[in-house]
Amino acid sequence: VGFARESLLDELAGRVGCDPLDFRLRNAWQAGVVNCTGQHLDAEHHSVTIRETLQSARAALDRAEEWREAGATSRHRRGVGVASGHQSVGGGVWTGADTAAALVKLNLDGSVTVTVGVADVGQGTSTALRQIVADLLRLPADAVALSLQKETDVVPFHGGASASRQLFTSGNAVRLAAESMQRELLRIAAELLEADPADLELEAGAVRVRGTAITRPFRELALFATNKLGEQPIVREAFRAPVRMLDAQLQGAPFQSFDYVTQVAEVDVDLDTGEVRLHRLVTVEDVGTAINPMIVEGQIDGCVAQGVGFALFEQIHVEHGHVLNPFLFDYRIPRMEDLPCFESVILEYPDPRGPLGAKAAGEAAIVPAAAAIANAVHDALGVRMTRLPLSSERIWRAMQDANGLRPESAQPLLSVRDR
Amino acid sequence: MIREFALHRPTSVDDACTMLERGADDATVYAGGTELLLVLKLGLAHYAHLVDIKPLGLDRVAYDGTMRILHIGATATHRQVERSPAVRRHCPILAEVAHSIGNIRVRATGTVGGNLCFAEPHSDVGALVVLLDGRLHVAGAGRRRTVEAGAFLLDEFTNGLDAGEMLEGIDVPITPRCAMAYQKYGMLERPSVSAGCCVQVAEDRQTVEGARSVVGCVGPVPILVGDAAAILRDAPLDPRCFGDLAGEAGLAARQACEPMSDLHGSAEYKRQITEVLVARTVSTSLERAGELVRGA
Repeated sequence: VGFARESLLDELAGRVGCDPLDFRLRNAWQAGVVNCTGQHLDAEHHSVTIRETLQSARAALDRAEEWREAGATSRHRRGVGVASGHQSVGGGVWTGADTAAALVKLNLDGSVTVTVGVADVGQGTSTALRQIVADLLRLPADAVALSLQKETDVVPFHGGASASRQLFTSGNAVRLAAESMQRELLRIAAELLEADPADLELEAGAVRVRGTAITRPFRELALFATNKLGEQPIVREAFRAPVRMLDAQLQGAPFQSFDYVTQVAEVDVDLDTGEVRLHRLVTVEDVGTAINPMIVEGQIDGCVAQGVGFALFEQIHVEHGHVLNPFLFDYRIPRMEDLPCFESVILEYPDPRGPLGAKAAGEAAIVPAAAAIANAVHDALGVRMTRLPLSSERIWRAMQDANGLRPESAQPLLSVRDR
Repeated sequence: MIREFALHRPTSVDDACTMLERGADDATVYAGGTELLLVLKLGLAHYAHLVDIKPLGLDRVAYDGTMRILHIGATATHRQVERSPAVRRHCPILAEVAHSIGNIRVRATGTVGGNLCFAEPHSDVGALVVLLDGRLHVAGAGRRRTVEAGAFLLDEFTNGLDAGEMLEGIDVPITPRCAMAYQKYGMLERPSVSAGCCVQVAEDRQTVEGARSVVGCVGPVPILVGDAAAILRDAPLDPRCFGDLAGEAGLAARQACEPMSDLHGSAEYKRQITEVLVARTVSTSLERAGELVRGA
């Protein structure tokens, strides 16, 4: 859908003689919009930032256009393309509720252990969740342990690592639990110090009486609570996302939030073979607060790699119900040499409902990649590709059709003729 | 899952050949294993006896200046060829292509000899050894013979070894004043089309004495494009002619190749790529030949 929409937008922009980025900017969503499911993306609860990603991508587009002008040859054409997209955060479409729970336990040494059901298969959620807790409890990240048991008998329900939802959903559960632990720590410290909780505040690994030098480290609070009060501080919280399932008319508000992204692609097309070389792909994405910018960048790079595969290579060949390329041997995915310079510009417009303002970063940048590349191919050749992947043979055929050449006419190659 | 097999460790080439002869169809040679293990794992073939020829000391890569022959032992790895100073000096194209094969793990384990024996139609090594007019030393128990590369690669996945025979090594003749180029183009894991060209400059340094042009991957075995070679023979070594020569050679290759449509692309597209790659390799070899003459 993203590919079709962004290709059409490009075509429309061309027909009305408008710069493709300006065209998008004029028509892009803003806060207050009501989307196709009737969800009101009001400014109080949503951060709608597609325009911000477009504005920020302008510099990349300008540079791309300079690059294009600098390098056309008789055998190669350069082109630049822009495309935008958004990715819903959360997966409340089918399950009825978008929910996750978290436990936070204060250990006797003053560290905390967080238990969540998150399946971190490399996306880095576990690190980000620890950072959220560490931030709220003013602890160094290494004083926060995450119990990552994959046993559903042990961990609370988390609904699955999908739909770009773990940081948002489990993140909010962890946030709520950490806030609950804050109150718990203040309550315990109030008992220990015989003070009013309102006079207490958290500081690095301790509770302080406001305006004084009197502090009690978490370790002391943990020992006091466990040994004297007889209850080790353990809190549990669940987060239920404020979503409304789609009704029979497909109306509702099934998603908690949306990531917004714009990409600029620079391609070099070989006129003899139709091969597309991706020179550079710039991603401008609003991820809300980037809790861990390095992870965000890694997630965007991964998205771009997958987007490039989707755009240029990946294809399952089926004949009579039989998959002809069931192995990576014949199913082409991008190799390192196929991948361009990645550049990501991370925008941080805090999401009003995200944990510490965070949204997500795991999928959005896949959405526009194919369209950005196809739009760049169109810019280079004047040929509109309407099917994916943009295999070199397809592009070569499209060039043949556009030039009115019969493929078997055995004409000398451009490369030879132009020398 | 690989089915059970016995691993044999022969102590000499004759010993290995005897083992192979005894095992007949149920035995095969095991060298790098990069192709064989894949085939066994996928269940496409099964051998009860694998004869491991790695301990036989057949991994020598050396240049014989008297004979003007570059010798590559059967178990020399792609990596050895890629890194060998002798190869780099006397036949740089071999090092260049070896560097482009698979990935570093495949190159460090896979052998040039094994690659040839596997006779995979999408092999770079096969096309290159045909281009270089390599001679293959074939051993049987108590007997030896030499086969031309073109006659060794009989059909896809079919080599010219008889029962009880194994490849002992490859000799690549090194001809003076030669410039070469090799290019491949791939839609999938292995190349879909490859082309190589070798141009020998005449002693007068003004013309092309002889040339060879090879096309790989589009048919069951690499083919030499005689018409392309004929176009280049006696052509002037003048950069102004290179474009036309390359174009004509490309057209000759387009007509000579007989591609089939498959996952790599349609026959029509493969013809196009064949023409492009042959034109480009001819052009690059001619340019390199020009540099050779100017540099001398």
